[in-house]
Amino acid sequence: MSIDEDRVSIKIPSNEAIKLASYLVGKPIGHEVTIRYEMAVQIKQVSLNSHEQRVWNLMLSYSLILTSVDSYLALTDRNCPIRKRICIMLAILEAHPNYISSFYFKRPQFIDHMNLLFSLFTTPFKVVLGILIIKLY
Amino acid sequence: MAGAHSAQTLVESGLKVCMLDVGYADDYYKKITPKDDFCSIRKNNKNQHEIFLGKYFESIQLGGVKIGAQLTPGRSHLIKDINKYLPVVSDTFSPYESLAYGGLGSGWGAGAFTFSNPELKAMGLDKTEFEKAYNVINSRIGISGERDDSSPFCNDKLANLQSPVKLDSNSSKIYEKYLRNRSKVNNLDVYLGRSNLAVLTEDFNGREKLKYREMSFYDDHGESVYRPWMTVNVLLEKDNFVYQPGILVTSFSEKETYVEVRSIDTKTNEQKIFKCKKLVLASGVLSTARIVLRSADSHEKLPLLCNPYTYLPTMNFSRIAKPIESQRTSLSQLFMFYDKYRNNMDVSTCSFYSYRSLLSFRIIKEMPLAMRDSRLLMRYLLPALTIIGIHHPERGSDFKYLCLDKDDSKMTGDILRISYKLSCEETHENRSREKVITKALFKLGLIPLTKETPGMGASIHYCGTLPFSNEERLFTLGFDGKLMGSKNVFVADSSGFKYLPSKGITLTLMANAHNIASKIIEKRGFD
Repeated sequence: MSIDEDRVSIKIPSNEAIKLASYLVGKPIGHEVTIRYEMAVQIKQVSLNSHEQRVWNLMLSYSLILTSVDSYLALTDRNCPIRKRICIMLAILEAHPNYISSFYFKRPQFIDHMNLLFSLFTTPFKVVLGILIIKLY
Repeated sequence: MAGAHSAQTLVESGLKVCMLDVGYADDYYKKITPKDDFCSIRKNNKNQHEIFLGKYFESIQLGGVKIGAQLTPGRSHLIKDINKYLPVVSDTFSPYESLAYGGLGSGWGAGAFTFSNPELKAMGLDKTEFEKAYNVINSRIGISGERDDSSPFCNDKLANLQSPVKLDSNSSKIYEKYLRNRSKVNNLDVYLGRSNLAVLTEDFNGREKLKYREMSFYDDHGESVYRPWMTVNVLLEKDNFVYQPGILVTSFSEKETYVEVRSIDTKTNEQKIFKCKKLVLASGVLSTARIVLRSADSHEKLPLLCNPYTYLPTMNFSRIAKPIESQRTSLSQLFMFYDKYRNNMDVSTCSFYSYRSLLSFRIIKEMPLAMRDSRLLMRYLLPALTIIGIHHPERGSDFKYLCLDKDDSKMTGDILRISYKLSCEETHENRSREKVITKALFKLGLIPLTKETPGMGASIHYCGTLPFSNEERLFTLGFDGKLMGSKNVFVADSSGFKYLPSKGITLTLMANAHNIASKIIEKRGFD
């Protein structure tokens, strides 16, 4: 496979990779991960239309909105460009030795159970908030 | 597969063989993938993103589940230039073809099944010939497995087996539960056993036994999982074998004393002509059909068979949040068979895979939760996640065919048109089979989470385009593999099979190639 030479350049906000990594694994990332993410978005040509871009900018500003819109889209439009960008970052983080503990654990701790339960129990609220943002914004 | 094994049989008999092949190979990922196991690479390798995602992130497949979604960077050369040289148009069928060195076999899951006598008969194959041929192939490639409840469905024609691959903790739990609930599962006409695989558990012919690195989807280090390029590599050392890479065979014409083979040189895109006394086509069912139809300048519709395929991501609840061992195999460790009619015919086959080495993101993106929440959940579920691939048997119908249409915009001047529709009865039958299989899975402690049907073509098992026949009819094969209407053109791949069992076709494909080559040797009237 080679990079498509006809691809268009996609504008990516400088804090996008950092925000996404913080949302997905709650850890800071190095410059190499940022570069890798931006390269992948360009190669995969994951561009956003004007409405998606507005929502995306809002998502990157508030982590509650990021998780809410993601929760809503996971149910309604799993393969939309916004989810594709999040997926790219997830794949890049997973394929990096620094974040291995975010994807596997030897033995879950009490805090892991609480974290998971909180995330799952708040999902309906996040979905509702996601609907409001997508429909109203 | 068919090309390598027909060539081996011909070369071993002393005949001069020239293999024409495009032969794309991977030169990059082979070099950057270390011999370490999956966990070591994950923990220590700073450049693992190239190994797991690809230099150009080609393994991050965005959008819905597609055919080849599991294709890793190290295997991406398998589908190189497919659209350019092997174009297909279809709304109902998404085939998988390869121009790679060693062909599609380089991505084979290594499931090695012998077929039952009723299955062989329905395919147009002779059981006595195949009992011998299966063992010839076994002696070449090495097969591991167990004599257990699955034996009548996959290895009872094999005289020798290496010991089966070790079960990981997930598969062990499933197998133990089966042994405890055996009679209940068997009452559904469902049988479970250890996988029969073309994987070495003992060193064999210069190849190493399986090291349980969990990297079989990425590389061939140690050569413990059989790939057809290994056979071609051995043949390259023989004086009576010539390998001609960069050649896409397009058509042939028979002359008085020889066969003229026309081809495209893929480096220059110029036409090249070769001459041979006998031509053995083993290009894979779809490409062989292209070559035969193009040579006859025909737009005739040819029948096509492909196993309907579904996979079920399931959860083994007893394994949730449990640790995963660092050394295991990513290949299937258990096979399950649904013998609905209790006659080893029209059996549905399930392969069980413990999931990890293809990374979690492929699953997470399909989950109905925010990706962060899915990641948190996936850490718990990963040790319990078992993917069940279900194949159903298949017969031909008027709604399953291919033909070659003119298209001057394509390199070869044509495009393969495929139409493939299951009837309502067939769809209903497959669904009812999946219900019984799901019941059996519940008894094994496996809870299906969802059902994915990637569409026809996804099974990558194709056959039946040039069915075996007793009659002198165009576009059929004699039982010696000879193309009807020709004198010196033979087909050694699965084009002749008239029925497609659900079990993986690959071992039978190799055995058939050996048989066709043996018959050419027996009847040869040339030096």
